[in-house]
Amino acid sequence: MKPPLALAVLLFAGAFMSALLPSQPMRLAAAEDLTIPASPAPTEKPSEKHSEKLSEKPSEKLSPPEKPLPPEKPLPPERPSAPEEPTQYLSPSPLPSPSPSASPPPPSPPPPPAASPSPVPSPTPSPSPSVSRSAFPAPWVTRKPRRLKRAGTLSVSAPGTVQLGGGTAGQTVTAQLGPVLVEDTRGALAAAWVAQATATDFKTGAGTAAETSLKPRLSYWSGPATRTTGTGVFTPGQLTALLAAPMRSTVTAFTRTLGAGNDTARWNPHIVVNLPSGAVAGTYTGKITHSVA
Amino acid sequence: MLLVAVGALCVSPAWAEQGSDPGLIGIRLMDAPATRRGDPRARIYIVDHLSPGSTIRRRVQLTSTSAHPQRLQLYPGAADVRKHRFVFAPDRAGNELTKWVKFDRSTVELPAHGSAIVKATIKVPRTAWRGERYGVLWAEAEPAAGRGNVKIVNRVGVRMYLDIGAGGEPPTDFRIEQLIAMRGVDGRPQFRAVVHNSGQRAVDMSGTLRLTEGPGGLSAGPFQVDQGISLPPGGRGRVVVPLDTRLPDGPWRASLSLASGSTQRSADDTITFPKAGEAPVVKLTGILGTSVAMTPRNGALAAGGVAVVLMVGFAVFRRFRANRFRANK
Repeated sequence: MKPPLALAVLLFAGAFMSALLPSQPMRLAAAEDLTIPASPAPTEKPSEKHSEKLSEKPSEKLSPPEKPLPPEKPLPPERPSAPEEPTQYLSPSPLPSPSPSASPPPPSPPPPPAASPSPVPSPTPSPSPSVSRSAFPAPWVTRKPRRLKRAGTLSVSAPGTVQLGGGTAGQTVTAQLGPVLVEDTRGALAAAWVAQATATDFKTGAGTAAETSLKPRLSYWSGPATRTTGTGVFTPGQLTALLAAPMRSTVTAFTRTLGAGNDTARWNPHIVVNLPSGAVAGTYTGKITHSVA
Repeated sequence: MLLVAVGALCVSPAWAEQGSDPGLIGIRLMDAPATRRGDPRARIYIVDHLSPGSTIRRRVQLTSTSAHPQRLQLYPGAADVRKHRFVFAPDRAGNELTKWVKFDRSTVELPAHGSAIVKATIKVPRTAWRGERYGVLWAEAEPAAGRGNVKIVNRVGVRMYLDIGAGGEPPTDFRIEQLIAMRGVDGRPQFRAVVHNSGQRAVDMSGTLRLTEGPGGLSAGPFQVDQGISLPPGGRGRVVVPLDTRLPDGPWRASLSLASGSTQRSADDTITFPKAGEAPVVKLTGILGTSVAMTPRNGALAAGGVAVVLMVGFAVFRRFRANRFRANK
């Protein structure tokens, strides 16, 4: 019973191997065929992005950098590590940047142009382009960002200071922080933002343990939106005082999801302070932060 | 009796005297990867896949509509996807990603109604391990010294979802696994779905529910998902669609479509809202392309069935082993 079985297995294995072997060259051929379309692939990228071609050239020129670099220098002075991007960043100026102080920060152009032509060629173009070309050619090329047109802004009300009022030890003080307004003009499909609130310790005097005991006793409730515009689902973090969230950790104050288009939301949050019976008298100072993103 | 003053006795914010509107501090992302043309998320967040050792630069425009000059602090902050939310770390707490981010300026003075463009450079070290990291580019407005002693600081930011790894970008995918028609404690009908992030990138989801083919040919919706959820890779979460009491119980053809960026998934099934006090009906979808209704009775039946199958399998296995043992002897 066993020898014939073993023979049969051997035969089967042999047949299987022989069937496999011829198929390998076939596969290789197929693989080679596949590689041929792979080389035209670069042609796809230019079609995606015209500026890529433009920018590839400068980077290639950088390797013999003496001639092309000096003319470019005055403009992109702080470009030691970014050989490909100068073309992109030469033109942030078309945008309304009323702060000319933005462009001056490279007021160190005079030194770099003089200094960099010599050091730059050796350290920068050699490491990044050579490594990128050899190891990861494609990602490097596609790293080029595109300018976002008609991109909107996410805004939050300018900061201020507030006085929460006072109370005696053991009392609970509730005060409103003043309206917080979030405006989203990014207009993205399914744009969303979340506003979270955090508090620092409230201190008085020298800030000893007894004088900084307020943070665990702070709670936040957003209340309903006092006004909203635009579409989207606006969800207050804590609709009523019953839901007031302790500020020991980050509190979600307000969320907006599923809007398409511009919107604003305004709410007037409350802060509840549970003054401990052993609190030190004094004027406490602290900071409450709304983070919106 | 101790008097503890939290600030002084005035409750009005400092800007109340200055005028009605304190103005707004805004941030706007100006660059996006060329490869993500179709992704709406990449227009508002920095969403990218980078290989270790690469560097990207993004310009950000800061604006102020305040009538006063504003001083903005710029810094990267840590963030995480936790409890179905994108959660910002307090203050300036950092993580691995924030160490890779540098602004070309750390503070910006904005004149009244002014704006400025700053550049952020994200340099991924060669030793970075693969995986997704989260952070926020913050612009924080400092309040001018006012009369109050509690500072209200507001910051606004651009989220970062950066995936590090060699090769191509890992897939973004999610599955809608269960559709649950139920009633809340107040008797209002509710539609819930369990969503599983089966891809390798974080997703921020929201979407709509449509009810069609209802009693008498009724259609209803679209109803919006109550709150969007954010899920880390592999995470599971629940989306809820609150509905109106006057909605008939059904049966309805429910189709839920959820989207995260350009990734859209939908699930549809026939559902019936239970009577008040009745157990909900859970529809399992996407398992081997079938959809199964789970009720308590049904569930018990299924569990019994599984137990029977297991027992039979074990018996057969034992029988088989015994036979082989005997044959070998």
